[in-house]
Amino acid sequence: MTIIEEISEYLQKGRAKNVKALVQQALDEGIDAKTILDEGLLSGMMTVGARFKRNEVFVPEVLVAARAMNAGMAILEPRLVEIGNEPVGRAVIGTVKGDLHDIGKNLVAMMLKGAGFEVCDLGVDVEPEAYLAKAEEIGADIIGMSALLTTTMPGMKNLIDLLEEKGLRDKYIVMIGGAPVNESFAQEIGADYYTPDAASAAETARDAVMNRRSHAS
Amino acid sequence: MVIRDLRVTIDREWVFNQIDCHKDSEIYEEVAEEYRQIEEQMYALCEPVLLMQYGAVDDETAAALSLPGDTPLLFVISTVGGKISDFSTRAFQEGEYLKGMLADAMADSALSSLERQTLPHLKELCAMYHVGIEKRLDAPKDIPMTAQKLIFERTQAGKLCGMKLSSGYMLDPVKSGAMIYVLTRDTDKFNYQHDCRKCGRLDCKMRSVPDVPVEVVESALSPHSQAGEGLSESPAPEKALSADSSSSTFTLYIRDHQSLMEALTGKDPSFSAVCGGRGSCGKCQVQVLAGSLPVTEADRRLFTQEQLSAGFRLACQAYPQEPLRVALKFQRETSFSAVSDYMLVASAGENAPGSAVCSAPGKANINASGSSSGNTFGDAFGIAVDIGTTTIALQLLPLGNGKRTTDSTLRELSSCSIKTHTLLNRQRSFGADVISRILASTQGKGQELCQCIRQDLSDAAERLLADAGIFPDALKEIVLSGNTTMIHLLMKYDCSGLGVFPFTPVNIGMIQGSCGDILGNASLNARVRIIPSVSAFVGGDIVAGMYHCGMHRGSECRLLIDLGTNGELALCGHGRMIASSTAAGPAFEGGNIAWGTGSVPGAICHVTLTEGQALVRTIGDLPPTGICGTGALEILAELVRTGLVDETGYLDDTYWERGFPLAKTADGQQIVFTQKDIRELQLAKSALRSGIETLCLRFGITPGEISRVYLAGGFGLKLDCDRAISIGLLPACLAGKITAVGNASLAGAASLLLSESGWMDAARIAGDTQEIPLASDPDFNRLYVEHMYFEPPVS
Ligand code: B12
Ligand code: SF4
Ligand code: FES
Repeated sequence: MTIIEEISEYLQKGRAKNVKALVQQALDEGIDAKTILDEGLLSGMMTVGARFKRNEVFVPEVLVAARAMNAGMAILEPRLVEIGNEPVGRAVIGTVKGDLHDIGKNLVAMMLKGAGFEVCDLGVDVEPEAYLAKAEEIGADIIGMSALLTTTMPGMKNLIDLLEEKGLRDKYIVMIGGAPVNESFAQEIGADYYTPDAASAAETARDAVMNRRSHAS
Repeated sequence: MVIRDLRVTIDREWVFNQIDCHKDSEIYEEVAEEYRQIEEQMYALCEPVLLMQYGAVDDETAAALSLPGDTPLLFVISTVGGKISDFSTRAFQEGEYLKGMLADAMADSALSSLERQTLPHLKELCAMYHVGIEKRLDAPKDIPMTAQKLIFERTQAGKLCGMKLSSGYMLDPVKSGAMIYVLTRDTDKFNYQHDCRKCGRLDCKMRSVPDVPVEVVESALSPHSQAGEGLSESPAPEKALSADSSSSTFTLYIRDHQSLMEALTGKDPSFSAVCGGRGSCGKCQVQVLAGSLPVTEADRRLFTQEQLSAGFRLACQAYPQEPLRVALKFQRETSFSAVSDYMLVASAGENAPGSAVCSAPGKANINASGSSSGNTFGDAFGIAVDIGTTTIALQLLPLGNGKRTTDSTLRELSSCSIKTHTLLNRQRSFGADVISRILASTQGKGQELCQCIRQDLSDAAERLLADAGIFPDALKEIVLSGNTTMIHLLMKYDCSGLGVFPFTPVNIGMIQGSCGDILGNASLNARVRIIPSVSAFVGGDIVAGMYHCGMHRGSECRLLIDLGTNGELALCGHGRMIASSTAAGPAFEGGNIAWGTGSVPGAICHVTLTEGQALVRTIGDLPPTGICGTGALEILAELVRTGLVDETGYLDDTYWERGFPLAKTADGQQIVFTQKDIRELQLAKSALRSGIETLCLRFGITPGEISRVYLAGGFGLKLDCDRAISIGLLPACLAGKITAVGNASLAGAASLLLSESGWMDAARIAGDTQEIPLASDPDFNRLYVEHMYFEPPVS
């Protein structure tokens, strides 16, 4: 097993310490930081996400894997900055205005990071304007909104309306989710994607960004 | 009123369940450690507060809440404060995801413990105001989300404990709950629990629905002796399964989303859902004596308006929402007869025709207590098993010092001490026939079905050993015989191919493994072997039966008929073997017959008609309870003989509407035989008869050339062959050639247990037997229509 494969294995098992040490060792051995990221950390995290979706592992396994990924990233990050590595994409995420549920949104943020996104979490009770301002500021590709109450779901439409109004609708990929949200609601308000869980949210986000890049070029 | 003197508890098990961390997880210990680390801190961060306010609302507000005007209400908010949530949010930001998730779930647990603590305060308040609690209202299920604002204001949550309300009417801190109790002058009422029943989120981890008590009144069965236990002198001994309970009422606690029928079968598998609880067989009738049970679609189809108002319902469609008292209108099959008897058959090759059949029944059913100790037979034992769709029969046999004996020893052994054990197949709660089991398994019940049969087999095997005083280590081998579906379910194979054209099984070969692999019971050391099948329809049970009857040997033409739901047929001779399944249906077993029942005590089994009056005999000579398969067949034969049923199967006008009266039950209900019952039997008998003739055609013989017919199955043991011929179930030319062989599947398994070389024969039978698919066979379809009638066919 190569050191990269080992990183991926340990990450899947959630062994933060081992991942940390191996990432350091890989860097010391002169392995490219980008390779460590893509083939070690991200690929390990993707496997975990896929296994979660197949019901082979549950939330806790994903949590510890993500934590291990985080530990590895802490070592890798400075080097990635040095070589000017660009993340897979940038995302702004938050729970909509009036809604205070955050655990679902937290999980989505975690999985997006695990898929190589740079994520800015705005927390809960987020105004449409706040999403937009942050998205403009960091040059986001994706805006993710979470709502757990039927009464706060209209808040999602408000952001989309705001984007339309400013002529910025096409600039962002809008993703929505939360227990009472579904595909038909997404279509109704003109959101780009709805996904039922955090693992598919990350996959969909990555595919959507890749797609857009390949179309743009 | 503000209450701060509260002590929350955090339920570790609940939290683990909430976040989906199970004991078998690799990281269970790690999560447990993290939990231990933060537990104390979480308790410290809890700031539990309970706010309660008594009051009423103006008419307008009341209308918005769908309440009558001047109802007294109680506004309640409970919270554990915001510190744990902050802790959780921070943990997530720092990448300590596990910690964050745990903290969040722990807060939920603390909050729900608070709800329990509300109870004494609620009681106190109710006593103070002399009121009871009519119901609890939660937003947005029972009242609009905006009502949270009302609760927030009335309880003065902002002023009293610094709470805030979001624009979406959520309370901040988020780990809070708000509710309204509707009060009533009736001080006996205290419906304080929130009710998830109305909520559609069945997979919600927080779901909790209190069990509903249902008192079931079961009309006492006449007590019967354990017929058959230890007696083997009668030609068809039957064994009583599980004893009768003496009390005639019992209480069930119905779980969330459990039907009354499911609760019944869960209590005792002898309550069986004949159609798998699909509401189509109409067998599971109950009558509501107290309380109310909504009328369902299926109820409306089956019952008359009168019956509905009298409280008749189908148990499999009933999801009780309130405490009930119901009377059972169907019988449990307390003593379903499971046949473990079989007759020894000398193969045609060995003996001269005519003497080929051993007329005495094998004394397989003897309970020779004590004599089968390990000393007598050496230290090796084996168990032969027949896994039937309805019943399971097991037989313990000595293997003789571990040395394999020859075929002939089965005969010797059968006169010695052999223990048998029979039980109902608990998979019956998923449906009576193979089709409903296949359906259930493809609808995600595969795991349950597999677990069910594994458990049954391993319990029964262990019990058999214990009863015989044999150490489990002495069990060296288990041989399983069953139809293809039963084996698929046991092996947890994908059954979807079995139910649709071209009916492809996953594996029909001989299967061998350990008890751990196959029965999920690693404490038994025996090897398990499963008899191979011919196809999806002709299973290992038929292969076993063919082996037992020696159909792989000899040149004479012989026919094996399994008179069960699947109605399998096998025809052999001149070194050739063909087989078929006629899908006769469950009518021969009393299924789909209005008053039909299994071979239970009290079932009508013999009928004669004299001057239009029925003279019946029942199993065990008990007061009549229903009609078993042989009874149904006999009444039909009698009706045809006396002309009350014409050649097309039409029942005389006098009885056409209400059915032909046979006898009255102990509680005065009229047992009848209906036009629909006649049609069912016509279909079944025609399928079987046409199957026999089609096989003969494919074999190039006439039925008259068949020298011997083996009737397998419990039904065969009791069948009156003359009457079977008189209604055309069997061709007349077979009269005098018919031998009932009993449980041939079990017999085959027992023989294979004792004969290593027999496995070669079994493999050859499974491999060489050619299956004749009947459904698409033009001859079969032509004959099928012809044999529907009762006159001899004009061919
Ligand atoms: C736990 C819970 C609570 C807890 C804690 C809430 C919290 N913030 O932690 C408590 C008990 C406090 C609570 C209280 C209430 N709750 Co609450 N609660 C729930 C519950 C059972 C689970 C929510 C949860 O944490 N799920 C776990 C996370 C991981 O799942 P998730 O949030 O759905 O997120 C996943 C996906 O949806 C998706 N996703 C989420 N966001 C996003 C975003 C994007 C961009 C994408 C792509 C995907 C995505 O990915 C996530 C991870 O896989 C839900 C019901 C349910 N089963 O969903 C009700 C629910 C959300 N609650 C509900 C209600 C009404 C309330 C109360 C008003 C009830 C009351 N009368 O008191 C109060 C309000 C509390 C308040 N402060 O005012 C309702 C909302 C109904 C509606 N349609 O409006 C729900 C749906 C239950 C119901 N009855 O149907 N609640
Ligand atoms: S099932 Fe879950 S979401 Fe539905 S009412 Fe019960 S606790 Fe709330
Ligand atoms: S109708 Fe209820 S079990 Fe068949």
